Amino acid sequence: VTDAEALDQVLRLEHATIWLLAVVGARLDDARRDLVRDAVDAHRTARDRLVAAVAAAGGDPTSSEIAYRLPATRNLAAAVRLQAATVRAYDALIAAASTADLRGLAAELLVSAAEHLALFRWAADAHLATATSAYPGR
Amino acid sequence: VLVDVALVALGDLRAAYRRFVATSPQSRPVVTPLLAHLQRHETDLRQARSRLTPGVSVESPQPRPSGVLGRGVASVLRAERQASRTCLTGARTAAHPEVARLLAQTAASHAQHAALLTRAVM
Repeated sequence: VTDAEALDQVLRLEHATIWLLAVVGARLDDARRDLVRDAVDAHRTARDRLVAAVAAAGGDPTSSEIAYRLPATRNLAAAVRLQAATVRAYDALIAAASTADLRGLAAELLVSAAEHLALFRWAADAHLATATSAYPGR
Repeated sequence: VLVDVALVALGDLRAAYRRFVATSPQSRPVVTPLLAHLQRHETDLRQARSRLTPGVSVESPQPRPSGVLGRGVASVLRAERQASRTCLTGARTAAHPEVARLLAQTAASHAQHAALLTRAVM
């Protein structure tokens, strides 16, 4: 797998996450919707950085689909699962990247995604011990 | 060196937690799981350093004097954010992928702590 392919794989996940979180967030109460909205903003920033990184690595950045398959339940637990998938993806990208620059990008995006994941989990059950993890993504 | 710098930041964080718990014993249930993560990070970073640089001394870096950071939860938050920033900086520049990943995960974990402490305590 080339760097461009690895980056584009995460980009496709970001496209889906932005769309799905927006749909899921719309069904939540005000406080939780705000949490999800903040995360969606962060995912848009991540998407834009990934588009630039794919192009810089010589690839052709994948565009967003028109729509994505919705999860069976559209609640905060669904948002947690979507967010956790992006955290795992950035962790995997660090391992797959061939240069320190790309690992650095993946590390920055991992930190941001993990922070939002913790806030989602906190909003879901309000327990610090289960909202955080020693190794997010592992 | 990157791992040593990270360990110093984590040592500062441990000291900040120790002072916080001493002055606010009721915070112990909140702090305990976060300290468990910190312990794992320190252990795994030391092990990675030993494995990647065999023969090099693995003495624990000393945290800075305790008066530097204060005693309240605000000092813990500052130390969590500093630990996260320091580890992220290390992850950005690490030449070794394993070290980069370990530092990135440590940075992410402490960013989670800081975000939640802000919500839970402040």
